[in-house]
Amino acid sequence: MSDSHVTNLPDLDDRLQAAYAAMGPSADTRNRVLASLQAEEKAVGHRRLRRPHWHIVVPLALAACLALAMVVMLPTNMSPTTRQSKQDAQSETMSFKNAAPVTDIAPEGIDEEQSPMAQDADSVAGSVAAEVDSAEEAPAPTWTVVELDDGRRFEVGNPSNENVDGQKAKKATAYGLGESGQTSCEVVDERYVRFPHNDVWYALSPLHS
Amino acid sequence: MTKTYDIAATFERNFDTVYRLCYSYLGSHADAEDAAQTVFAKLVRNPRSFNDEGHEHAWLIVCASNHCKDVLKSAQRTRVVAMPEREQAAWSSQDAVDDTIDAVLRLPTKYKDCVYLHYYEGYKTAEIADMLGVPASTIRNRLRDARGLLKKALGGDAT
Repeated sequence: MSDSHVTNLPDLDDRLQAAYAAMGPSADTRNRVLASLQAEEKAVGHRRLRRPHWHIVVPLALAACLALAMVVMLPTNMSPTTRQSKQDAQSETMSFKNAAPVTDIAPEGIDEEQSPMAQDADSVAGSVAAEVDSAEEAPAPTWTVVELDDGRRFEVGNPSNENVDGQKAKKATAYGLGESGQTSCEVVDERYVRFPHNDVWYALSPLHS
Repeated sequence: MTKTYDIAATFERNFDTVYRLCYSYLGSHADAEDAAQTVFAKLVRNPRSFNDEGHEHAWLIVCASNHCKDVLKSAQRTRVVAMPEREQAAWSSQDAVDDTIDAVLRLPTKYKDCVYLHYYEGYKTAEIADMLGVPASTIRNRLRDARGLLKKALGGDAT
């Protein structure tokens, strides 16, 4: 059945058109409803503005929590590689402290800034650092000169890998920088010295005054 | 896809249609105004995306039709409003338009939307069937039955 079969009632189209046209809203009705809808739209807009924007708030809160958790967990969650590199950096800093006495005891009459020892301070420090690392990260000696009972003086060098524990040691006096830089120490074979504050043996070399 | 958030423009395009459809269902200008306002308010509260203005028009027609059916089914309206105002006014009016309106208002609910959409809005039966979600043959049958009822109500031959 086509559409023509349902519209072939004579005059019905026109009468229905006129009837439905007469059902239309008045201008007052239109204005009233439109004003009401616009007020509703404004109220809805205000409600939307006041309503928490969960699609923004929730991801931000999660990101903040994640960042906080990462900050809290970072030290304990550090990888072995990172930890090792951190230790290396610390030992390198200590080795530079060790290097300081080497330049301090430059021979008299030679300008420290021009001496080969001073110029090679960096390379010396580097080699010292390597030795310190191999000597189980020994602390820097506070004393730079050791004097035996017979008056001979020795320069305190780098920590030594030699294990001379148990060998016969002589008592000696160690001198360092500053007013309180004096203490007793043990010297083995006039080549190694140990101070009371730790068990590290440092190399000794004769100091010619 | 065009988002229709400009309620004023949507209102201008569709209010007359929605209002007339609501009036044909409810038979009262006050009720039609309330119903039409409710339909547009739904769009304000929950803005939708429409493919084009035809899609928007069809959505509002279906929404208005469903809302009016809900209103007619509500117990309160059944109890409080026994007769539409047009029905009461029609007794004293001899105008042909009023007679036709009266006849349309007396149509059973299931015929009202397809009569309005076909005879006033000019939709084809297939378009009405697609819009209302029923077979086209059902729409044709409803239009045929409605035509018979209207002709009978208007004093014509029903065959």
